[in-house]
Amino acid sequence: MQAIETPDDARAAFECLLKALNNDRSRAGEIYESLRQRLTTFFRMNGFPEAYDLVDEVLDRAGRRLQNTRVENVTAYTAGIGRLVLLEAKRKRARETPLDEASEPQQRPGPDAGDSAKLDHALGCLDRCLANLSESDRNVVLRYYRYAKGEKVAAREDMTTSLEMTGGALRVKLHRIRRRLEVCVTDCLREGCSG
Amino acid sequence: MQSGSDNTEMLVRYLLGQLSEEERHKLEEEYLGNETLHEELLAVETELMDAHSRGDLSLEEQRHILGRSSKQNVRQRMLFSEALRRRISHPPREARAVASASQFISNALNALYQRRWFALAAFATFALLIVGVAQIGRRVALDKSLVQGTTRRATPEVQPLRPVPPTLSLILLPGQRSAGHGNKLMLPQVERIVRIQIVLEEAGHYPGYEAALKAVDQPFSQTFKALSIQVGTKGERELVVECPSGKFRPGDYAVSVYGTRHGSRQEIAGYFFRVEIP
Repeated sequence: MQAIETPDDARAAFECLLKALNNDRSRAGEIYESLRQRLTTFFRMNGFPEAYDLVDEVLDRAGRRLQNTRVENVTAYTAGIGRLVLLEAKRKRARETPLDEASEPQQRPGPDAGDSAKLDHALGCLDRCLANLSESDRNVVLRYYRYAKGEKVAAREDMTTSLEMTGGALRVKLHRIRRRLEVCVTDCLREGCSG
Repeated sequence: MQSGSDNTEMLVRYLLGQLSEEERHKLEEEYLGNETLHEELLAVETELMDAHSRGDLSLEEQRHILGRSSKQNVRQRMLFSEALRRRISHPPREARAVASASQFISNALNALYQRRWFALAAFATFALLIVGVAQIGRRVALDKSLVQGTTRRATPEVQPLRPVPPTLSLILLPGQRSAGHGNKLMLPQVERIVRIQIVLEEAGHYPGYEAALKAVDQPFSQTFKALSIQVGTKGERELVVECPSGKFRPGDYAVSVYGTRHGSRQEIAGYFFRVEIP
């Protein structure tokens, strides 16, 4: 029989995990947040698009176990728990989902192609958000996405040369800038203004 | 797992569900423990989302990519992707104007560094342009006030201003590589800046471009370095160079365009035009 966890237990488990991740609480918080994001991706990639409760379960279990266990690589240990929780979630879903529904492909809709007003609004927001970027970041984004299929590879090779970074590093840099832009555009769309 | 772009193929295959069980587990362990690899994974996923937005993915690939996110998240990302794609292919008019202006200033500064006489001519042209714009502004204000019927009695004495273009344009198109009628520059009686737009058919991809302007049967040549591709209003790719009209004499001229990379250059296009006196 599983013991009922009290808020105090959860708090103690969280503190224990933080301490295991790093002695500096601030740095531990950053690692925790990063680990949470990676676990979210891991579940998402395995068919659980909104698995925030599963991620919480993993981190909570890791914290509780670390109260009694000394672990060398906490991230790897937590990842192991993640895989276990994933297996449990898959089994549970298999039990709960009717067969005909489970075999249905998860076709997702594309953009609302007919909704040009929404796109116009998004363009207005994008202009505003692009203007808020630093000039160098804006140039990186515009240059990175400017070229189509045939020219793209050569253009990006030129960028890695001129910026003196690897292709992977450039992609990560671009992704960070783009994430900021996406968040900005999403906020702008929510506010209902395009500047 | 290697660092850098070597991961790309593996990440793409992971996202498209093409890895074996063993490979998939290995990769998942790695990105769970490696923040940078995780970011690379998300970046590659975004690029695949963009590919979907352009209609470049098969149905099976779409199923893998879209099935991993909530409907709302997919909608948001598709909308953003589409907006970004449109904005890059069709920059707003003001942005194009600003880009042209910055390009002009950049060229002028570059010339200042390289050739003082050219910079002086560019500065004079720029000043002329500003005066011209101010005069046009006055004319527009005048027209507006005329329409509104608020013109004071004294203002009709102002003579209509005919805006004088500070530059002459010569557009060199691909396919017009002989000095035929299309490629003719008529020299003005008063010195102007000649703006040569070299439209490229195949620009390739180089970090920089150069254009060499040479008179066929006269001792005149001018090389324009550190040029960058500009996108015209119809999406055409072009290089723009400027030269005072006083430098030209009647005769035939050749323009060679080069792509430059790591100190070496490769000729990518050639044009001819003829200069005549009216």
